[in-house]
Amino acid sequence: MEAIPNSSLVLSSSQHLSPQSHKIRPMFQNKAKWRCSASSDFSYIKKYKPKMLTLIHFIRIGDEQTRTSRVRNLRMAMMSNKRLSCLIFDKHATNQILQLLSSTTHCQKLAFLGENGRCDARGKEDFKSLIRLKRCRDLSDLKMNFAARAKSGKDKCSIIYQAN
Amino acid sequence: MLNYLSSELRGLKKLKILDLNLLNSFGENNVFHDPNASVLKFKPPKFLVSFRINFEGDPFNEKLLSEFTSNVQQCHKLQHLNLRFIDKLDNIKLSEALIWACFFKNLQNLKTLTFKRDFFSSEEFEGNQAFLEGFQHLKNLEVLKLSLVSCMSESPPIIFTCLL
Repeated sequence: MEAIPNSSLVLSSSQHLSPQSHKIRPMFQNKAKWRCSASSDFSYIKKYKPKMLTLIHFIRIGDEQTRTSRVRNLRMAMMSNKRLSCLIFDKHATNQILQLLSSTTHCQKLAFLGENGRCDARGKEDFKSLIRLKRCRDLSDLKMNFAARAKSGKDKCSIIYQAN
Repeated sequence: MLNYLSSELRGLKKLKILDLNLLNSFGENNVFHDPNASVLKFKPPKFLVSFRINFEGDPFNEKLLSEFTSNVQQCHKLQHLNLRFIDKLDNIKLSEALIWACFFKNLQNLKTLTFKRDFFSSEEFEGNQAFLEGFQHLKNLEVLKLSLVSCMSESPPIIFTCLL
């Protein structure tokens, strides 16, 4: 299947939907037939080249090694997709998310919808890294949430889909 | 941290749309926590076309407001502005109304304005009235969403919400 203009891919942990499962659930929005099975090398990103990518509860699932491996593979897949122009994160942006940003310097739209205002030492380091966005030279649309107030998962999903 | 954010975002020369959620951002559990800081010290990038910012409960006085409006009006291409001040504000004094009037005079390209400010009651009528009169300076305004809510228990709430 070839790339379709304006396609949007959501990568979500199914933890949202089922606490027992920590699998990653990929889903192409507006294209139900495009639902794919989870893949550790994210080959569907290379294959379908979505223009928009949304990560919901995506980075933190699994142990440290799993997360590092997942981010590395996703980053490689994203680097091969030059069509990607919009990237949306729902969680506190960690250094792992920032590694992804370094592969998306051509992104025009970025949204950090999670509460990025955490003030512990790790949160402050993440914050400093997060706002080093100068490398995203094509960025024209930026949404950042530094609120500390927690929202329910349901609210977050609502916000994310509105953002899309 | 806020200066750091301002500085980094100003490095994004193509940035046209900025949406910052700084709700409760100066609380003790937030990365911006600084008893002497205020969101009103944020300096938006100069080439913005659309700017949305909301904040709550941090220091608000006329000196800070004057500094903030001075910084925002340097965005000469600004067409869409969304300001939300929530909580811990008093009625509009005449001196504050004059700051807003001066601000609006310098936003001649503005087409859409959304303005929310709490604690607006019939008391201090002179300042409130002067504030409302300041909108006449926005000669090119096409859409105005204005929400001014009185939260004072001793007076009935007055809610102005108009869409022109």
